[in-house]
Amino acid sequence: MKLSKLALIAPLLTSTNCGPWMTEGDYYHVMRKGAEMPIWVRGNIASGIFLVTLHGGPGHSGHDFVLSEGFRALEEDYAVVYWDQRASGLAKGNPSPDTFTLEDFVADTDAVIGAMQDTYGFDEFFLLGHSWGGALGTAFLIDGAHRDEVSGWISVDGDHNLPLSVAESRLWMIDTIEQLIAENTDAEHWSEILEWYEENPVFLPSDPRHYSYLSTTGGYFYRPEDYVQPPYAELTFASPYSMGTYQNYERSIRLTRPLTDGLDLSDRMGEITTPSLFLWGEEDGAVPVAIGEDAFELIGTPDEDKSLVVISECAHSAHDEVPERFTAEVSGFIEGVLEARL
Amino acid sequence: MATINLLLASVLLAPAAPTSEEPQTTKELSPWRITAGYYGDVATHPGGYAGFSWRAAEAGRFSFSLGADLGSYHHRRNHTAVFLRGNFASRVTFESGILIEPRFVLGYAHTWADGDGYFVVDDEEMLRQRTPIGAPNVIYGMGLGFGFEIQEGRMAGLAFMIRPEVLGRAPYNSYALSQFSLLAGVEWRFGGRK
Repeated sequence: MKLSKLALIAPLLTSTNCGPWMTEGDYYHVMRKGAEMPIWVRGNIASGIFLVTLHGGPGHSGHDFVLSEGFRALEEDYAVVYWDQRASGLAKGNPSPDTFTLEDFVADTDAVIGAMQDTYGFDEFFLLGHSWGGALGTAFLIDGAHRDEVSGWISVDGDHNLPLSVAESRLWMIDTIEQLIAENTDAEHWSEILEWYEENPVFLPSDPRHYSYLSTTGGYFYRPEDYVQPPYAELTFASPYSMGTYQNYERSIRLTRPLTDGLDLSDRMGEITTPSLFLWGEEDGAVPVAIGEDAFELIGTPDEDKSLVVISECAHSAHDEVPERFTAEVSGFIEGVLEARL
Repeated sequence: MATINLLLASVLLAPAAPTSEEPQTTKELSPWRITAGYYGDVATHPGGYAGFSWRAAEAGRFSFSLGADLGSYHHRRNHTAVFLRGNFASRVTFESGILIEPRFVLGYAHTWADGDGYFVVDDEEMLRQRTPIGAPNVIYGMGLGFGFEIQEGRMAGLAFMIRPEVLGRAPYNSYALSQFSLLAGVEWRFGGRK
């Protein structure tokens, strides 16, 4: 009886290696300076149009984009390259703390692109960065070895000047708290938090308190009630995710603190001339729309080749909050760049 | 933390526990056991293990053993691991044959990234496709086994075990990764009756 039960359980356990997370698309790793970074290529590879993504954080996972309807819709027309940066998400290995420099993140991005070019033979590609991925993408467009092969750059609520981003985020938070107090919504609680902001006119991008307050005020998600939790059970037991995925975040924040605190790429953004789309949520409290406007002004791309699209009733992640609009804007930009060449 | 304290207390206090009842069958059987079964990293990433243990001391229904096991598991698109672990266990076997066994493990695991291709950037920043050489890891942790051992007849000494474990694996992104595993298998006292 016991043996027969074991015989029933064994195939069930083994089948967790055969689900969609384990079989869809192609899967690679790139090892550079101790970091083993996973790459997942999904979607329409036959299109020959590749969109390389840069996730946020630092410390989040590019694999999380796959959970978004917006990215899954893009996969119908394009090959989408999702990967995890060093010590982030599903990345493994044991990179030394001194490899968490902007130069290393840019070189990692080059390695991922090089590996994909070796595998699929594409010459040019589109690059999309979300949040912190905006800063990494900006740095890549300035110094990356493959920067001249970028057909178009899409910044989705992306950073480029973290001290300014934090300052704008603080102002957004103060405005929001004052509204909540005026509406008498948990006024005592918010008054205490407002006091913290008044006592701390300047704080570092790595300060966790600000971001924890942001998450409770809709700064990340315009309609928090619409936020759908990731399917943690499926991810833990039947996907490439590991327990490390959940433990990397805190470690990554700590390792990248010297990199993110004070990072400002404004002075060199004029060097970038790549066609660009800045896609922003009007209600973004984490990287407010003022940062998108600043990036739009600073970038060296000619006016006719750049656009800033601000989406109402959307905060930090258009791909999750307004996926149809996100897909339409990104597809429209890609098709526009391709058509302009004809 | 409470679970860890309970396991520690079980191991440390076991020798001092009363020994009024001493099942005859336990004494009659060999101190050597072979073990084999399913090893699941976070339960569902499948693998297997095989090993042995040696009962070093016994006091009534309590016993201590030392052992080792060799195993492997495959977490698709993440990694494949081969491990060799030593263990120290304290077991209590009830008259019914039900047994409980806290166990400490310490060992070595070698892990290889799994996927459709593997690229390495060397010190000169040259990118090449390679076969992964894998990475060394120390693994350590504890588990709590539950099982049933047949006490009589021709199958006496055969036990069925299920054992959840909490493990650390280091180094991993400059920290020790916490994970869990599930072992389910059988034990057999080889060498038969004395």
